[in-house]
Amino acid sequence: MNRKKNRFISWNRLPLRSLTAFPGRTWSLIALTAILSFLLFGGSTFLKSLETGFSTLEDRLGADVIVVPEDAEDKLQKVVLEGVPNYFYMDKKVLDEVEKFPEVEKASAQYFLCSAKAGCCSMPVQIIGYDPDTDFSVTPWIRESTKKELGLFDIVVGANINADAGGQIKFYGNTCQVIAKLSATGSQLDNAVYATNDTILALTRSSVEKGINYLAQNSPEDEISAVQIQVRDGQDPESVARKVVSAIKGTAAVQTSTMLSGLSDSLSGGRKTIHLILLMVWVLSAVILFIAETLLVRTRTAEFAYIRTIGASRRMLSGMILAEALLCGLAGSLIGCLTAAVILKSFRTAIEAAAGMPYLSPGLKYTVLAALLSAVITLLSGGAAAFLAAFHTSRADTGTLLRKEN
Amino acid sequence: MDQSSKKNSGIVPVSLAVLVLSAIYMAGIFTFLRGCGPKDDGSFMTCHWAEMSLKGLSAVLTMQSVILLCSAVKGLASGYAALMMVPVSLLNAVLPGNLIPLCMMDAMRCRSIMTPAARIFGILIAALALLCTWKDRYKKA
Repeated sequence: MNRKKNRFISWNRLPLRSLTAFPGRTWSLIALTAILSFLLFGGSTFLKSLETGFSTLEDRLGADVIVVPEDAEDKLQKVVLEGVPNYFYMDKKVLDEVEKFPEVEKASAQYFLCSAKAGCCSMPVQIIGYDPDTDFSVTPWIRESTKKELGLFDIVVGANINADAGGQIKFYGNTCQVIAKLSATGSQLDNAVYATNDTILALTRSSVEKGINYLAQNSPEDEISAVQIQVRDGQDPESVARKVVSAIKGTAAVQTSTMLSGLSDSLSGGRKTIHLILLMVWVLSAVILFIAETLLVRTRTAEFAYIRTIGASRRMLSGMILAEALLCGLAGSLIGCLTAAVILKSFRTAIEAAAGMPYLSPGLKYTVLAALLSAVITLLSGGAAAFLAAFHTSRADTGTLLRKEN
Repeated sequence: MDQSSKKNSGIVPVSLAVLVLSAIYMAGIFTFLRGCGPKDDGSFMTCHWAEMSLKGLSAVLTMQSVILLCSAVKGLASGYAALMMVPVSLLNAVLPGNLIPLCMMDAMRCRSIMTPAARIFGILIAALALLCTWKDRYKKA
């Protein structure tokens, strides 16, 4: 006897055969569950990415207070939060004045330069010059990527610059060596390049030679863009900021916590909105799944009645309907989560730009947990809907079902 | 319905899906999936040529998918037509950033929007085309 030709369908294989026999019906159910798991996984991962980006930026800013020229408060926010390259300058003596305050534990100057061309494209690149002897905000971050000291024309690039350690980028005709690439913060600081003040001086001179004279008057020898302040333990950054502004004319002091508080408020509001949307989506999807399962079961009453007549118990019939729903749910969960993961990963930079907030993908652990949770919720929703429909059908009398069909 | 017709009945929906994807991709690469614009002086960056190449490839993919759908509907052997789409769509996926360089910053449109879209559509279309080829395996030429 040819076992292949005479193979009959076992009870365990019936749900799968039933699904493959009606691809239209099956794919509709899979599509429903895929949409649910896509929205659950995608929404929760998006929210977590915003939170991760925010907390990383908070850590990276380092300073408690940043002193800038009087009219440059908004420009500083644009540089840090929106990634709009900018430059502003004040007298270097501001650093000496700030260091005199007893509440100030550490103070370090930074110099902002904006390249006209980066040798790659017309988008200007923010170059941030720092003093390696006194800096405390950028250096710890750089140390995570390299222990090497930066020399002349050595630069460290943000995570979004497409150059790796050992690569080269040209600024004003000068070839700069990339020493390291910083880890991502999910903020616009990833689009910046960091260099020592010696390199900035050399670049400024090159810009003069090239006839781009607007930088000539603002050399790091005489001027700075910002002073980063770390206050002593127990001191209130807000009062230190007020003292600095009142004592040093022509300056503004920005508390980093204040700069981020607006972002924090937006994040809280966004979090509530997204949670509400996810809840509504889940409820709506559960209702739609229940309606779909019920309608499907009703169209198959004759099929179920025949199955009952050949000896299947009510329990076996319910199990078959549930197995079909779970198989569709499993497939849909897999497709939905995979699609969301691919879209969030591939379009990460575009999403960050559209959100206008720091955006950093959470680690693999969270991603896997979120995918599992979304799949479980999807399976439970589909399973519950199928169970209710199956329960109702299994209670009905077989003869009644057959008579109705005829 | 004979065995081969029965087994190939699934090829029409799949080839329709290929056409829809190719058409969306072609429309997209000319509009919302396009790369970086011209520089201030009117000249173009390197990524512009990647965009032009993708536009050409998307048009070829769309035409190929129309031929595939027509042959599938007519019941002709369409496995080879589907197979021909695979190298074109894979070329579409690897071209930006590998064969033609792009801008250096991830924030630029060519890297943040155009390249991921080209990769996703390229791989999806190639996968569906392979599925069409597999579904057409029983058809005699």
